[in-house]
Amino acid sequence: MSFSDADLARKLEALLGPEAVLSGSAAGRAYDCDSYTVEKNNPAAVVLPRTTEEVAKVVRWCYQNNVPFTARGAGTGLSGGALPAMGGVIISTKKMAKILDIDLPNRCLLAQTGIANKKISDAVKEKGLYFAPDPSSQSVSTIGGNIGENSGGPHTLKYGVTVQHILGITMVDPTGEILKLGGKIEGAPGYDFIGLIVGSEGTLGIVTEAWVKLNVLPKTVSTALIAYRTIADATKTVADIIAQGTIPAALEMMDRGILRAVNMAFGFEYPANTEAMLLIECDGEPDQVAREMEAVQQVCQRNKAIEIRVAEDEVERARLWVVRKKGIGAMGRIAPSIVTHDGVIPRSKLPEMLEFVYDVSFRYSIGVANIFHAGDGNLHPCFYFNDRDPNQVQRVVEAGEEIIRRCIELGGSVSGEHGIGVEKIDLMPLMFSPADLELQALSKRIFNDGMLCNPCKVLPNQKGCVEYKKHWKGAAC
Amino acid sequence: MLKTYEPSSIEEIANFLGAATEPVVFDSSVPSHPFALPIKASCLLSLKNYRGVIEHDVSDQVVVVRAGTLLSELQTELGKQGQCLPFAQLDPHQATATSTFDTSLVDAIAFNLPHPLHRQCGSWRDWIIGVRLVQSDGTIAKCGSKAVKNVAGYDVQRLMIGARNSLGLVAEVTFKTFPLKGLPNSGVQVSSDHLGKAPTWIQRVQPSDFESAVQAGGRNLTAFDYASSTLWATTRPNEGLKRFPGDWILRSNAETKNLEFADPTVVRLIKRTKELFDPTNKLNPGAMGIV
Repeated sequence: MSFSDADLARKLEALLGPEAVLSGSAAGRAYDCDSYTVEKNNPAAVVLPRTTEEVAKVVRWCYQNNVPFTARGAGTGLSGGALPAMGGVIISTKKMAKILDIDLPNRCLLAQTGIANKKISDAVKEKGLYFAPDPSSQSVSTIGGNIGENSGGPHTLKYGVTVQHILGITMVDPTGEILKLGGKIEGAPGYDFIGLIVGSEGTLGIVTEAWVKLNVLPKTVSTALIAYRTIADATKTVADIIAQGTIPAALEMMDRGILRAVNMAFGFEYPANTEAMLLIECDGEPDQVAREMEAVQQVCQRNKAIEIRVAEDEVERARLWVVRKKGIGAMGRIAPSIVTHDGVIPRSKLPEMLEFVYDVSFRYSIGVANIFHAGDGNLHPCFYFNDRDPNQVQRVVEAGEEIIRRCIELGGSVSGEHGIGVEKIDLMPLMFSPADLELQALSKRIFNDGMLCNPCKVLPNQKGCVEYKKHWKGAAC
Repeated sequence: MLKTYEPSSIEEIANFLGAATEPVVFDSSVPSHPFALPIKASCLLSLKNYRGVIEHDVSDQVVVVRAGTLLSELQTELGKQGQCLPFAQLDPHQATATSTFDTSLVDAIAFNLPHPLHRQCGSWRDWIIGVRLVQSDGTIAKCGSKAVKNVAGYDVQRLMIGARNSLGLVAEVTFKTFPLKGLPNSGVQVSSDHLGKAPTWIQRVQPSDFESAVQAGGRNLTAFDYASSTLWATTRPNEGLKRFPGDWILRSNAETKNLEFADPTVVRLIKRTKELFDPTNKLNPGAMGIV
């Protein structure tokens, strides 16, 4: 890159107009990381294009001038996917939030990818439809970010993750060319490029528009909150429910640390001696939901539930969900800093894995609370600590790595839904051999053979990243 | 005359492919899969000796299986534990009318044909959570994992599903299984005009075009599925059913027209992918119809 930051901003202004470019130190600081705040790096400039063509103009210019660029949606990512690792240009989709077409008969919708996930569902709610993937950040996180991370959420147990809901995309490739892939009909013959692009963390290009599938809102939803005296009773319930053939829409677990925080923050009440709670939701046709809920409650009782609360109406249903949806927020109120991990294990291993998490927390003297997608085996141990104490930060990092290592030993994964980004890049070799990683690098080269499009993400040991890594590694400390 | 190899371990497969200097076709490519394109090759690598379940974790509903295993064999094994892959349990007429015949897993995954429960239960792209494959140079690599939810790294296994083994040979597969209990019924309707006849034409259209497509298909249809807007039909090699905006088709009796890609972007990307994964063009050469 042979431009000063100011020069670069002027060049971009000439392309898109001055109102579409932010630069200077304030802009740099505002865009130096996403919601993974441990590592930071300033971009030289931020652009706010409005259309696919404008994105292509910027990318083409970056490509011709050897300037790195990184796409960014709402910045709610939890693994540093939107960190401008080599500086350069942040391409924000903030001004690309339009719905372009709604095809009700074919139950799909075309939107620009800067639109918030929930806005899609809001737009078609009156027609009895919705967009199924529901990451906890859905009121702000963008569909572009969801595509980048292949986001999940509490209801993915039954409805699948983002990739199962994307029919077609428009993408600006790393050279600035506009590609249209897929359409409105799924299952077409040929290589599944969309399946590769969804979840590639913005490293294969910038997806600017997407045709998404719309699901029919279930006729009936039934939600129950179940209290247990031991963690083991709760985790056994999870395995038993799946094993007996019921797949609830959501099957979530919260431990005492979370319950205490939600109690302190929002006055949420729960039975004395509760060590864990499950939130279970079934949805669909009324008689099927009644059958499933009956079966679920029997399993809960067999596993010594001490209380089963079933929501009588929408208001109570919303109240039961508070404990799951506001759990992390409540933790944030009682601790100076929290770090949430995202390992996955086969769900039958939940009992021994949770024991291991508590043991790690004890050995490193770091507080932990657990709130997670139990049905998928997707853990979210949440460590609370003081990030001004370098010793505590170090212990949190080591404790996290120990937990992720154990997940892999048990046949799981380093990440269930938050992505690799820069956060877990050094853990990839724990899960994949050099040959496995080379295969992934090969697939990346189909679209991205250079080092400009969201560099230094997903794959470890990329040439050219080592020097830059010094800038952002541990920048928060 | 094809030289045939029938390895019984993944290492043997890897050694064979790594050393091969001539084009290789895979598995039941002889007689060729009905929906395949004609392939010119001198060696056949069959997985018929590479069969069986490697690991079935019943409570996690995950099974790891060798790709030469027949679909029916896997279903029988899973059925003993009340599990399955979610294909409809079809009677023989329905299975024939929708081309959901019993086949090795490697072929089923290679072709990713529509099936009667697609809308309700998804496809191979949804059930496969991990793959061990042998690359064209003989390297064994894995992608995905045994976790039902996983976003670590690039989803290379997705690229292999429907790729007709042109990018690598899928040798072992990890599936998430489904409970047999509660498996929905297929809504597929079979035409009585062609009982016992396999379709030569598979077409999927937008739901809004489905009724017109069924009407246009008329007596050529062997079966149709309202839920996934899919039609199966018999056609003459030089004739076809009416086409609709954005639809796609597969054929089984039209030689080089069995699989065609009109979009230049897709053609370019397929070529590029093939060059990267199989630089000497030895894996099922021409399987995607693009040279």
